[in-house]
Amino acid sequence: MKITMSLGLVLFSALTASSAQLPKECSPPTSVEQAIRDNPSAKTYMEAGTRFVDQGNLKCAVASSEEAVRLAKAAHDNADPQLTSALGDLGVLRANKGDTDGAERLLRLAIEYDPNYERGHVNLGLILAKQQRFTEAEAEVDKALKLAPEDAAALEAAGRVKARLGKSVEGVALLRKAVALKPQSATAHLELGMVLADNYDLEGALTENSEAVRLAPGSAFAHLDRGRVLFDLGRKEEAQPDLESASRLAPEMPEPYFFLALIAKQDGHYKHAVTLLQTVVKLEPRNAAAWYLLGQSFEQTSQTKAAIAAWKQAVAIEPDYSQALWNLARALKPDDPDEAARFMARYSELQKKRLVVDQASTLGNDALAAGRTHDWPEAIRQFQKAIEVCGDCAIKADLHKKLGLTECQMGDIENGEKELRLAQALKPADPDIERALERIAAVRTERVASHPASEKPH
Amino acid sequence: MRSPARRTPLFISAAIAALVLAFTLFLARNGLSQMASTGAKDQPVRPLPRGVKAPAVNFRDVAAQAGLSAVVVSGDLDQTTVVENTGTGVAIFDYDNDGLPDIFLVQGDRLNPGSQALTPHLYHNLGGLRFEDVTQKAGIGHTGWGQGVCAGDVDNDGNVDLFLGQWGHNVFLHNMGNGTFRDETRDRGLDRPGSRWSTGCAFIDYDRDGWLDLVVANYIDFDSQQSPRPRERSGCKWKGIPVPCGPRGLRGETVTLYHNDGHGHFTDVTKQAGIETPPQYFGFTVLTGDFDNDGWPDFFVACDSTPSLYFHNKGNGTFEEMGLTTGLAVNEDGREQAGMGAAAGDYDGDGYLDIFKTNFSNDTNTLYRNLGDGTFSDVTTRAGLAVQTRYVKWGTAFVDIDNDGWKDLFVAAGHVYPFVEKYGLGEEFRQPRQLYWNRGDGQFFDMSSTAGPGILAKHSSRGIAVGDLDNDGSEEIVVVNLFEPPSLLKNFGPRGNALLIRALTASGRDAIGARITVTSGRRKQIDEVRSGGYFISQGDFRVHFGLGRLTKVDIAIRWPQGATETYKDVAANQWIVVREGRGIVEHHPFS
Repeated sequence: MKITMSLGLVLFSALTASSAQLPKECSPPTSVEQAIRDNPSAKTYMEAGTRFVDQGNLKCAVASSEEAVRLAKAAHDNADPQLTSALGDLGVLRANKGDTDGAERLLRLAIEYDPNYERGHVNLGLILAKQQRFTEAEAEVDKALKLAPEDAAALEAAGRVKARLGKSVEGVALLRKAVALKPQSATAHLELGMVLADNYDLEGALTENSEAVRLAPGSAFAHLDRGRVLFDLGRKEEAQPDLESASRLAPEMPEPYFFLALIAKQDGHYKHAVTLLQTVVKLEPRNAAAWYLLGQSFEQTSQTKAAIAAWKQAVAIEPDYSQALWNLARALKPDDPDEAARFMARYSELQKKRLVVDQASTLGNDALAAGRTHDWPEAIRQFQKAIEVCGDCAIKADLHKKLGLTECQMGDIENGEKELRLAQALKPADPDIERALERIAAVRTERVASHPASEKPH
Repeated sequence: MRSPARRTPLFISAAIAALVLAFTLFLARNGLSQMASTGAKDQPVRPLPRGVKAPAVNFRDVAAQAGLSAVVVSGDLDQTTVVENTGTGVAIFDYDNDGLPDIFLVQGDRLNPGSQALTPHLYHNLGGLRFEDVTQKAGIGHTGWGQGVCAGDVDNDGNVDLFLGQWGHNVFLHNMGNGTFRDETRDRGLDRPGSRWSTGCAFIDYDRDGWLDLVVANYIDFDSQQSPRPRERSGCKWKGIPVPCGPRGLRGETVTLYHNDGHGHFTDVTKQAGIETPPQYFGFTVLTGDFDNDGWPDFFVACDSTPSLYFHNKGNGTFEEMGLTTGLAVNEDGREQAGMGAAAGDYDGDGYLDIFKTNFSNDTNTLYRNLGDGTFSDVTTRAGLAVQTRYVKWGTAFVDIDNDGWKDLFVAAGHVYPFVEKYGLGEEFRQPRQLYWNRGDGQFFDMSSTAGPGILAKHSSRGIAVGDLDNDGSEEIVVVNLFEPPSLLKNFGPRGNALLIRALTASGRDAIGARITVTSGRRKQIDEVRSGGYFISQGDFRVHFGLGRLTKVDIAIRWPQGATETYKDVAANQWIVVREGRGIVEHHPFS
């Protein structure tokens, strides 16, 4: 988050530096060193940046890229599309290697350099969405759509992001447009299928996924997604061949085995379910759900000890896995009542917590509903009540955040900030809180500027 | 792993841009989240083993011919609050002791009542499945917003009284013995100072003093929710559509126990009797039974979206809540379900009463097998009952549809949201019923699609009650349908022999809590005279036993106060009246 917020400053300093120098530790790779010395252009610095990426040296890659931007700016009035796209590509490369921070930084650099870099907005949106930063992601994909309303990639990204933000109608419409523009793209159909399934339109999702399978019969994802939808529709006999195809096409992918295990379990073929789930946990050892189901399948085949071991794995991964805790408490009771009681106590504690969250959530909901009718005092009262009921419950940060925002909305910046700070202490990475606090600071500055006397301390 | 977590989460943390508020859905209604990642989907309907043949069943709805035409109202079709969702119960009881069970249809109300006050409906059984609406004649007027009903003779005068659980104030209707009823709620100590939302109830002689006490389930502390918002502004969603909030997230309630002082006057003994719980349960159906065979009546409460409650009778005037320790509070995944209706029956013939509970959609019903050691096991999947998960399930009963001696299962269904159809989710407000035939080997066979038009018909049903309304040896099912007249389902299929037993205490009232065992050779069937159950409803006090080809059986009755009497070689195909200490006092061949 700090990277994002300080990016403007970083960029500013990079672009205003007077000398074309890389940090000392960033000595250019030998292959480009001479080129830089002979012609210190944007192109040569970008090349250096690419080499740094190959070496896994992000810091120097970014420094090189910044230098490339600085030089490009100095040399031309208009943005160089080649440089922009090189920066963007570098960002995507980082993202593909799992370095989302680096990717974000590079993409932002590219966009700062050329605000009309549509693909950069799309990719930045996707990277932000991957980190669950959907609001920021939406802003990026919206910019991309404004620049290229008919670009299928932008439409796809925007559709996905908006669907995740709960704007399902808008999301589906965008994805349908993407599909219409690229009817031969299996990915586009799969994206639409996924959003439709998430919005309970399983038949619609099946149509899209079937088209994806037709277009890309060798795609494990297409088979997996169709298999899943068929499974959700209760058509497991039809789901099974798709899931089997997916597991054949991508044997390293755990999902098909997981769903095949569910089918085996439903059919009462518990031994087969055990085998499949053992494969899942081998491929994905931290899949608590698979461990839990493995325990259930063991239990059904009278292997209680193995079941207990599997459920213990599930709670080791996810200590609040209430189903596993419950089953452990039940299974251990005959032989180890003390341990059983401990698991039962944990289970009961979770139940209590859930109840508190439910109650606090309802009050929060009421507060939001009051806010929607601009009844701010009532909204604030309900939020305060929710916070009181919640105590240290799981949604405490969100409640403080929303109370803070509501108070700000009402004009009570002081208390609003106080609540937002409380929220931030609990959820430091929340971009909304950070943005809101920045906005508060800006409002204060504006006030001081327009009414300097009134802001003076007494 | 991508897939299991890919579906839309229940708690959607909507983002907030700058200082613009975004409205967040905190809670969806019960049910949706319960699929989790463990595949709580329909199991395949298991084929019958070779040589086993399901019976021919033909349920038809004869309500219109029978004269049951009253429409049950529950708010408005465009429902805005949760109080309109739950619907009402129904009672089958013989109010005039003419040997023909009558029907009492509980009535709901509207949030904005019109000029004509709604009333419940009392239908007098004229015989031959014909009924007359005698509501006015019986002196029954508007009672308020009715929910559940249970029957019992609280003053041992031989006339069955009624108690109505209501949103607002509950109502006790005293049967005057002359065809009329009188509201004696306050005089009997059954009124409460404030408005509450009661649902199910059951009469139970928990201290075995010979006088019926009363259990009342309460649903939501609704009045404490300040001005519940109409669904369009509630912020609550179910499958993405705006719905009234609740019950999850609203303030829960407790169960109330009233003690009968021996003069038909009641005192709230909730606290002294150990019934008091934190106010965090959404109680619906009260189901009584001696689940541990110790001679003392226990009771189970099916709770919506919260763990079910099980109160074990300690035999000293107090109870202990043992839902979690017995395994009855939650399902096999340790997950509370949206419990609605409940039925008790010994489905596997092991001499212990098992419990079947209905739940919301996207979830299975739950069959708890009584293991006989004080614990229960969720055997839903093993018993072939993890089917029909798409329906919202309500009233349920163990009922032997073919009189083969094995209790089958009937389930009524109907969505809570009448407006659900306009959203294109494939959900329907009116849903078909389900019928599961007990194979006699611990498994059930889903024969809903072949059991006749009465089962296939779609309604938004709630309470049900079972009774032999025409005294022919097969039981009928009365089903409450919201915004429609009720259904009266009669099976016109072939059936075996049967025996119907009305057990009366020495004082002459229906012996609620009496355990009846019918034996022939090695096969034993048990059941009890019961108040409450189904879905906040009341069934015929007479206990029905299917006997297959048997022509005579032995009967043992353990009376509520502990004495046991036996009757040898009782002939099949009749309904009899047995009075404690006097033996079989009436024989009536089936019509």
